[in-house]
Amino acid sequence: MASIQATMNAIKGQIEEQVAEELEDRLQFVANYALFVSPVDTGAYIESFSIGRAGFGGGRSKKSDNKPKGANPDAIREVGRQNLYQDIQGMNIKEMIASGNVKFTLRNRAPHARDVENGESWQKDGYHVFAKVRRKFG
Amino acid sequence: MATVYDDIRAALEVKLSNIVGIPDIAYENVSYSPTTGVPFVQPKFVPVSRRPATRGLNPQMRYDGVMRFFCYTPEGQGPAAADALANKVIDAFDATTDISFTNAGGQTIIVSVDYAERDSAFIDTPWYYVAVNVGWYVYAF
Repeated sequence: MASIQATMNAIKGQIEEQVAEELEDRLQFVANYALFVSPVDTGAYIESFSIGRAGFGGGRSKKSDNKPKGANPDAIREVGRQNLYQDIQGMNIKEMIASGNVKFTLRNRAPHARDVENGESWQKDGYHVFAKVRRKFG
Repeated sequence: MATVYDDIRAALEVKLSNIVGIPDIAYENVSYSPTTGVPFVQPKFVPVSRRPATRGLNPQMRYDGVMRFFCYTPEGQGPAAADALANKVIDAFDATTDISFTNAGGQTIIVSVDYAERDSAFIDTPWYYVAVNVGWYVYAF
């Protein structure tokens, strides 16, 4: 009986490992898509993305005030990617799977995040970043 | 064909305009000057993806996107008017709704609604608005 139990535990561990890897890939895909559909001006918006367990507190928040406009989009997106990959790495997805609570939140706490999403006033269109992410992955 | 986008937009806009009691509609790229204190709805067509739905040459495509409806009501008069307007839109575009549209060429498409949900309200002086997001998809060539 003990050897069967050990085998079952080993299989369970392997499955959890594989699911965790798949989830990590999926989260990286979500992160990259969010960065891809985000505008780059000063870079503050992209640098304000965070990803974590559902309902996690805080998150990055960069102001665009006084930052030079016309930042290099590729360089800024790389910064955003590194930030989000770091978040994903730090989440301990295996433990989340084991606890049965596998929900994630993508957040942007830039002060101008709402303007980016919906537009600065009713006359100026937004970029609908979260609406697109939600549509694709929600 | 990519012209399906025109029909998708039209289907969703016609559906909006047919809602009983809907206020003025500020269509995209049409000159509109809202009157302060008078509610209006502003639709935004947001296509997201176009992918082959089948294998092989000339595949049928699945189109996905979001239609965003910004429901504007006067600032400083409480949330009820914006909430009521958002509710009307959500009810009209509730999940599993199929919207049929026939274009001038006689071709009919079905726009299917995956979900209709709203966001929290925001102030955009002199307006108070709620965004309703309608996730849609279409299978078409």
